[in-house]
Amino acid sequence: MSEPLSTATTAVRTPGEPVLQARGVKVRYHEPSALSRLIGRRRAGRRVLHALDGVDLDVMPGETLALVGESGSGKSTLAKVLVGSLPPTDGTVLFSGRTLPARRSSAMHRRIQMVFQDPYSSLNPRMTAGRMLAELVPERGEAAQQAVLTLLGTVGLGEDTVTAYPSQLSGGQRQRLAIARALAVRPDVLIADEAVSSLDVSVQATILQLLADLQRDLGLSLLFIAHNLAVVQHLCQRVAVMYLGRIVEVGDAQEIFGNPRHPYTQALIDAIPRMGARRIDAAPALPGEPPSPINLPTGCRFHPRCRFAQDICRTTDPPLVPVESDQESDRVSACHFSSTFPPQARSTT
Amino acid sequence: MTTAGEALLSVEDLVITTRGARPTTIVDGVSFGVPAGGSLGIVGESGSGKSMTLRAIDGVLPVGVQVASGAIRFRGRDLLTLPPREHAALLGPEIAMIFQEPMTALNPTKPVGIQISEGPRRHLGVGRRQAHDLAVDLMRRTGIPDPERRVTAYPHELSGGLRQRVMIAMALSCEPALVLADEPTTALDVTVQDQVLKLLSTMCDEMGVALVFVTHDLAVVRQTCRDMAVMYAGKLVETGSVEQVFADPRHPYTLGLMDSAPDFDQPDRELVPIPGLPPNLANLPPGCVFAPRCRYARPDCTTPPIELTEIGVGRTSACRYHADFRSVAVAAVAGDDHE
Repeated sequence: MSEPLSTATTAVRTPGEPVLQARGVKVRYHEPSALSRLIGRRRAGRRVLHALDGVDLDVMPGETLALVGESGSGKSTLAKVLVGSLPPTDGTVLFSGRTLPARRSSAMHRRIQMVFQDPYSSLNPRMTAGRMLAELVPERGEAAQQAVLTLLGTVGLGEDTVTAYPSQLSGGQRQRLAIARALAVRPDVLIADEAVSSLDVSVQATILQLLADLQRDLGLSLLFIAHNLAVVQHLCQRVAVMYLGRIVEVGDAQEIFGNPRHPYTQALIDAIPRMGARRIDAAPALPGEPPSPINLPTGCRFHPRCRFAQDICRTTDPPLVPVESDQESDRVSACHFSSTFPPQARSTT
Repeated sequence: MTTAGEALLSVEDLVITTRGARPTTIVDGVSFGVPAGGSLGIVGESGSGKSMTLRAIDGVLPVGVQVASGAIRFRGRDLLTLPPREHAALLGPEIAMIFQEPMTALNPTKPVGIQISEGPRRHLGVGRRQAHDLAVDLMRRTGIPDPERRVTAYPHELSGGLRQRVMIAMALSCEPALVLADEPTTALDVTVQDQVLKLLSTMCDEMGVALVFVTHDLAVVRQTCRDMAVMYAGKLVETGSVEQVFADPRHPYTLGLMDSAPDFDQPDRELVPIPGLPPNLANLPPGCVFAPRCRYARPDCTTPPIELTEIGVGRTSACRYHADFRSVAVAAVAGDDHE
């Protein structure tokens, strides 16, 4: 890795203040019901899909925060809202404490950048790596060329990559180029949406190493969206767990994986295939699939799949609140029984 | 691994090449055996030839790819020399395949119940009414909720996890002796992957079905299979029981895969990527194909012949220094840190 790029605004921020915040973010889609379609009335009887249903999340400066959960939990929708490509139906996004307008300035767009899962479809196939980066860096002329070379060095690509088209690069090199493109505008926050999921393990390890180095050297805040908890555990300091459009648990990565305070987090952990000895229990860690975000369950939205569910879980929606038994840590959980989780007598279903 | 005599499936010196004037070898001299009721996991990265090996067994190689030599014996009969009709008659009742992407492997224009019972109707002479009941029963056994209603559903109406369960129901519908699974859980969520893997292992155990499982995920092999084979650049580089290989990998590539994959149970272990890129199959390096990327390579590793040799009971390795490859000081490999 060559000399690190400097990020413009990192120094002036106070350490305690979140760089990026979501406050009560909701994203709803309206689907006309079959009946209203039939009689041609668009508004009557519309069904509502709750993609995000009141999300509060703080991304701290220079931290690596993971967003985990099953497909359909709203991880990518939240990423789109944060990056500004999808206006929320309700709620606000704040950058360094300032509320962002629905239409962001291009200067603000530069602050928050994104890397996607598939480097094959997210890079322009008709542009060389050099041109792609040169049009993004703030420098112009000779200085721009130098900046491009520095950038390529930062992500571990050779100088000869300048003239290469994406089709001439391997999967790992393409993902490096996608990261370089995101870094070209000197962002404060980098959102990586399943950025290592489609890569072979040996390549995945190099990209994880790169992300860790960048986060450390550039003081970037990294929001890492992934479904592979083993990868998350390796890279991230804090973890936010999502289920059906809500955040159900947030906490320090080590604490959350060692001592989950929400049954959904526990189930995600139990479902990870391990390299250690073969497990014998044949019962799946979590039966069934998430219910439809159109017909949300009453009470706690996880209760139909929760093996510890009690009467209160079927009637009352638990708020995301600090876990009483973990006062000293900043753990929050949306479970009625978070303080006593896991229950001593484990009922098996 | 078992000897060819008692194997249900035995692949012998299989060579798969592209067609054309200058054929490229995609799979080079692969041999392995699977006993009745056994389970073999084939691991390797993209382009290692693992899926091609599996497709050759099922007789569904892509256009432009052919088996150049070798034998694939199933119950002693060579599938490659069998008349096409007899081969086709085996697919379903004896050998069934589960593909990675159920959306493209299922017929979008037919209800899933019809597709599940198609095999039994064709091969076992099951009638129309019975077929419906059989489909419902299989769907129930594969854990599809509300099978009476879902039996008439089209693939697009089902979630990815349910589609993969339909694929499993289809594969097991004729109670085959051998199931071939090509990355069946790669596209699924961890929770659903966990459900599908457990379902597949339990059903194969209950029905005594042998399983050949292709995946890039070592942890999945660890949890699902009894034996494993590691492929690199079209060649087998290590085989053995899952227990043995994980406890004591005897090929640097196997060790490299293990070191580069994060494991949830070892959060503090540093990930060590394998440097460099897999070789171009049309232009393989001399001697050991892994030598250019190997941290433990010695000068004579580039001198042929490098062959897969038996190193213990049911264990093989293609490393000349399999016994003590780690004793060499880690050499700086050219192009380190780049892939």
